[in-house]
Amino acid sequence: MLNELTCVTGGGNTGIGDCPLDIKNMVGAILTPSNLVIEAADTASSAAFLAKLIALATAALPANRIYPIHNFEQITDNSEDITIQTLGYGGKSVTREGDYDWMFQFIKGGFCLLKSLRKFNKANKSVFFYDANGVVYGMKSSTDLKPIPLVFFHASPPKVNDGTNASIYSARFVFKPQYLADNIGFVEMSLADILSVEGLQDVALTAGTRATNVLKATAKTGCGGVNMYDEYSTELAVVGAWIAKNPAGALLTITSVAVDANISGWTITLDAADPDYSVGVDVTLSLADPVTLAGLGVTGFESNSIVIP
Amino acid sequence: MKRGELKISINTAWAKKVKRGDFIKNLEKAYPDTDLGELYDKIVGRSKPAEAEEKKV
Repeated sequence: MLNELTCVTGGGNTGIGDCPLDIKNMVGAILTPSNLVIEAADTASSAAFLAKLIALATAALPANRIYPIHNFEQITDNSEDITIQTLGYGGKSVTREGDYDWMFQFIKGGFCLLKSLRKFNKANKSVFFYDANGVVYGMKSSTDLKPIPLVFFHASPPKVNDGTNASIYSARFVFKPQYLADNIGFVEMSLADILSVEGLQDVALTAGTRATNVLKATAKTGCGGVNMYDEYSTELAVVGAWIAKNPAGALLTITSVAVDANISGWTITLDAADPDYSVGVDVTLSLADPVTLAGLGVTGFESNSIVIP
Repeated sequence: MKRGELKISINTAWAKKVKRGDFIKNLEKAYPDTDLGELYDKIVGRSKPAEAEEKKV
């Protein structure tokens, strides 16, 4: 209305109940898409919230996926103090609050995890944090829970072990203070539950020999290099576990898949009569999306695509 | 590799669309030691017609 300010005449009531929220040390975070909204139905119970987080962590499309980072070992709090201006007559005025700036060190996951996190360094992401009690923190928006928008996320290059101190792998989160201080939204979980929300592992495929429409491939986890054949030879020896495309992106019909013990991999046969297939065409091969793989018992993996000439 | 030792995952939707000869032709390079005719018959749910087809050949 004209010439009327919206002023808060009172502050907040200061009575405390028997069960106040006490934020414990943050022991993990979940990077999320910046537009993520967790609706009220998904925070109605810890079980519903857990199911939602697991579904998001294994989402088929990377853009829709959340990326958990567990096992923070310590925090370096670089948050800026409030800025106070001292005026000419000695009076003081708070001019602004500084951003939260938290750097967490982790050991578990080591270089492999750090390498993956560095891919988010310039991404526009938001974040949930969770504390040592398993309480997940974001911000409340009406009845929804949203992640906290980040000013920036940065995973620094590692500092090497100097014989006294372990190698330092760290992730840094900078965000505006009002999201946590004024608009906090939280869901109480058990720490065990939140730790069960695991990020996907990369799978690196390697092409074997090709005889026209018969392809060979092996698969290892991206950073650790563990052979997927050792644990998932049978689960991945099914037609639905693989995707083949021609250079134009058209799906090629896979007619059969079988294990090949000689290469600790798989034989994938394409339909030579498929109109999208022709002899000598480059074939782009990948595993199916994480949701499909999980349905086959191969939970928590996403493969690269390889071109087999 | 002996016959019957290899477990092959077949795209059954495809197998049911193709003729027995085409099925065998498609897979024989990948599984030369497997009785693909018998495999086809199992998938499409027939036994006697397969024998008949073989006799014709």
